[in-house]
Amino acid sequence: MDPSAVVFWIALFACIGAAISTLEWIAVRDQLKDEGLFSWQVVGTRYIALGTGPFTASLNWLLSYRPFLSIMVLRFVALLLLPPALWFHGGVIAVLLVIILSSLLMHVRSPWGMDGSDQMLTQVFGALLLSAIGGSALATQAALWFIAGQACLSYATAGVAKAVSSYWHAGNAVFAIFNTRTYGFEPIARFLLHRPRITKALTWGAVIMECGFTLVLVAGYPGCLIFIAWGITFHLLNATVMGLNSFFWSFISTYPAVIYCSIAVANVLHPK
Amino acid sequence: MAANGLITGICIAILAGWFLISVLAQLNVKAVAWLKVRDVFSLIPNWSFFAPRPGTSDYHLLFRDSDAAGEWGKWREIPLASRRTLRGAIWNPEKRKTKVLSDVVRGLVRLAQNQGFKDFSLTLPYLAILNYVSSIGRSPACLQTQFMILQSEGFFADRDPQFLFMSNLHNLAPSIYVERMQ
Repeated sequence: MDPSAVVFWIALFACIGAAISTLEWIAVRDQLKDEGLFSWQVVGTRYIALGTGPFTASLNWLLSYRPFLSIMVLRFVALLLLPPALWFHGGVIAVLLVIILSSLLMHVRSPWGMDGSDQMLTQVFGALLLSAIGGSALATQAALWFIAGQACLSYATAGVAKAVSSYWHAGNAVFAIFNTRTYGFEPIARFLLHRPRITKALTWGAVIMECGFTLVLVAGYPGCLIFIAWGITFHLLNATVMGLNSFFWSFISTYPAVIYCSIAVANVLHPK
Repeated sequence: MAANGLITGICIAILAGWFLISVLAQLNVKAVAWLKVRDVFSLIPNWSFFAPRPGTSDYHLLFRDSDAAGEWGKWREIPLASRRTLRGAIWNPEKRKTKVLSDVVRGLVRLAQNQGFKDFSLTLPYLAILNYVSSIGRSPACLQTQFMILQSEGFFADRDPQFLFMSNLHNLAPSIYVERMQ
């Protein structure tokens, strides 16, 4: 596989996810005003924004309502520009810098309300930026391994944390989550209510697949596609049933790197 | 050529260091925990989704207002969860609002369950909720507001919602609600 083509697909999926997420922020922009949920008057009382130096003064100005909204618009434009920039090999570093800096500012602006998908996008765009700055095949390969590593680490951590949790051992966790208004869906909760075996199977299925996802790295091609198909189905269901739409794109964006690394390992283990 | 090699080396070292810190953070290594507290940019990920104990309760944020005569109105609920729709699997802006409300309410509940913590009214979650509740459009006759947090067990629950937290009474700033009512 051509590493630069892999980078292109990663960037494309990540940009779609981040663009949707950015437009969602712009759509609820009223919440960024002083009387909104993300009021900088409140969030700005954190230690990072306190002080009278030029850094805090700039930060406070950047994160006030209008400049921050402009940053969101600039980020959206940068996300639209990244795939063509990669395709035509021009301005990649500048575009990625805008994306990464806006990501960092978003995390400062919102200590609440950000989730794992935002964290994964920061990892992905950060790795792509370092790859572009490195400007060599070696740096690109390192970035691809980093992204695949973060994907495997995320599934393994989530899986092992569940596997050692007494709550998940009880086998009822999936129903208990789907039964909430926050992450659940009433028809699914109703279906699972009197079906403990299906609930248990879904609970352990999620734990086993998350724990085992790292095996994708030794599955080779086309074996790795089984794990990828599971991941796509898993995130599609999470988007539909749990409303976790942004997780779909951010985690799918890591899959080209996962496939690349799986093939690379297979080539080492079974040289032709 | 040497400069290019050096830049590549630095980039690879950063990626390797970043990944190593990410791994150590998942293992709750103390040295990384110190870094994580200071990580305002969320560069160090936390991948333990829904574990060890997933959120299996819903929180309910309610508020009420009093008028000049000191009469309190009915409790009104601010939804913390949006209705699931097929479109929401692609486009879900409400999620940001409900997620942040849910996060601050959970943050305040965590503080409230900490027995050693006495005064919540200057904590960020408290101020964020108060700021939001105070800014909701209402009649100019309302002088004070108060919010409350309840906990329920979801769609199919065995028991009634439980009381978790009651705020102090807070005066409403006339300039804000008059402006928003216009």
